[in-house]
Amino acid sequence: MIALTILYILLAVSIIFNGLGVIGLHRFPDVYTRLHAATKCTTFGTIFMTFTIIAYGGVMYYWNPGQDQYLNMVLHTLAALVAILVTNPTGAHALARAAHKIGILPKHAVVDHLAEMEGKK
Amino acid sequence: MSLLEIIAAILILIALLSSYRVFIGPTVYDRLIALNVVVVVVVVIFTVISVDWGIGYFLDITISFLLLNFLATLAFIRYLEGGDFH
Repeated sequence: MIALTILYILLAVSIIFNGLGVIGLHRFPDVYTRLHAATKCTTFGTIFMTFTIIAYGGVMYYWNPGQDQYLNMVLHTLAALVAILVTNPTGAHALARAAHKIGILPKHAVVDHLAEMEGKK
Repeated sequence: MSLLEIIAAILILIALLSSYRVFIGPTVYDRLIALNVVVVVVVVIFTVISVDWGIGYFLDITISFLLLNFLATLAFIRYLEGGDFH
């Protein structure tokens, strides 16, 4: 019963963070803040969803050993977790860098240190 | 409906809401960000549905979809910057 409670809490955290990411995607004013909200919240929510699946598969494999489908599920979800941990922040960084390089500034920006550094080089 | 199917329905609603930004985004980067969010939420939907229905190969589809999304984002950014692909 304690395992089921932990699973429910992990599921609730995942759903709440995905929903917060969508709210931030609609409410923030420019590209960088939208990128911040969307990427951070979806990465966090997806990590918690994969934690849920890993915990569920581990508990089911512990309760009835010998059924390899639960072990298969845990290993594949671990691979998906590693993939999302590598690709999602890297893609967000590439997006922000490309948006700055093409000339989009934040909405209330007063200084641009990155352009100064790149101009100095 | 089981609990995981209800959660998948909520996630489908989240994906539809975030795909609204794909259509109204002022710059093309907003559209890319929203498309990224839609892909990640669809990946979560695939994982949940795979566990609930007991279909193992949906997880393989999940991993390949994530990596394909990453490559597509990088290629699209390189195309928007006007760079060359070598």
